[in-house]
Amino acid sequence: MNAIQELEWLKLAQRGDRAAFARLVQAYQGPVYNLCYRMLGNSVEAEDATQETFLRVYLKLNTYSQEHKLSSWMLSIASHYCIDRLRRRRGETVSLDEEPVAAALPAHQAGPEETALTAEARDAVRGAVEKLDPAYRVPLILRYWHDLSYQEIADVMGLTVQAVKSRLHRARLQMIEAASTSEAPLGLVAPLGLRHGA
Amino acid sequence: MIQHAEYTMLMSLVLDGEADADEEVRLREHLRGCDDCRQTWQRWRELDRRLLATPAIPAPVDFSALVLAQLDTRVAQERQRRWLIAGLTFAWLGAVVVALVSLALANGWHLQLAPAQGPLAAAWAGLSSTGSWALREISAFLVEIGAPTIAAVTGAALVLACGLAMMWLWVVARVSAGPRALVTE
Repeated sequence: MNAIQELEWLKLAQRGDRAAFARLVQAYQGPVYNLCYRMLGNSVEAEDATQETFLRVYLKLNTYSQEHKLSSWMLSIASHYCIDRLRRRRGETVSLDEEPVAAALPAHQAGPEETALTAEARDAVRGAVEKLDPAYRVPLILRYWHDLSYQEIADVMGLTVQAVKSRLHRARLQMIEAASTSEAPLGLVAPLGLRHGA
Repeated sequence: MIQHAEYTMLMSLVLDGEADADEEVRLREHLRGCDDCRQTWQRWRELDRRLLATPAIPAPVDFSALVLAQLDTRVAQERQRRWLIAGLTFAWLGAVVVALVSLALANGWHLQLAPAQGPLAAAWAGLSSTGSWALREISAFLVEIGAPTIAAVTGAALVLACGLAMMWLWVVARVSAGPRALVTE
């Protein structure tokens, strides 16, 4: 999908054309689902959150301003919804084993030992991301899995670029710190103790 | 320590490709002379590598059909929600208007409606006299009951007003969040 097509579908969808809106959903369901999954940590809630995000997108289509990228606007709606959902969830805990990510990943040409190590490492990364405070988790997810710049992350989250810099820095510090105490460490170069505070 | 914290921030910027040339040079020069920071930098790079190596998760289904199937219901719910908010707001405003008009009628506003002056002038005269009557009555009442009672009643009224305002905001927030929020609590 190029920018001209996207704009065309957007205008049609704003006039109530549901087929055009369906095309926008198809174009952005991957990034939105991925963000929801990384934020909520399980597929059932991620699917529900993805649907809810697109329903909200449809209801707010006429308020969308083209000064932001459409993807950033949708991710912003998704991240706010996920943060609200995490707040409502409060004390509830979600098992990391609820759905192995590896099952949803494309086939990989590797030996059993390498595959096992890779899956273990992935689980460790996923677990470490899930333990982050949502305020730090969102920018990290947007940076690594959506490849957004600081400015784009700032647009999505309604923050300043300076705040994004600071949150990404804090997110990394928290992950390194967690790795030094976790039973399933990220496998970073030993020793893992964090020597330099923020 | 503060100096080293500055370098972990630079590490973060360099990993994100957001550091300028001067910042990169400053970090590299510092790493040459600081064993601790060099070790930290290795850990940060390894963390970065692992995060980059963890692939994105593909969407398990095509959401477009699922979303389209719910659109009609959600559009109807949204319309209902807007009507509810508008209804609550108008009910609130209506109650205030009824209270004011009742006060004006009780003070004889309707008796001052002089057709010769025109309806607007008559209404304004009636409203002004109602206002000055209300102020006179309130000040006489305040003098009569005394300062301690006024303080206590004002405090209670403020608490009540804050409570009502919070309830109103809660109702509007719940209604704005849609029917799901109303049932998930």
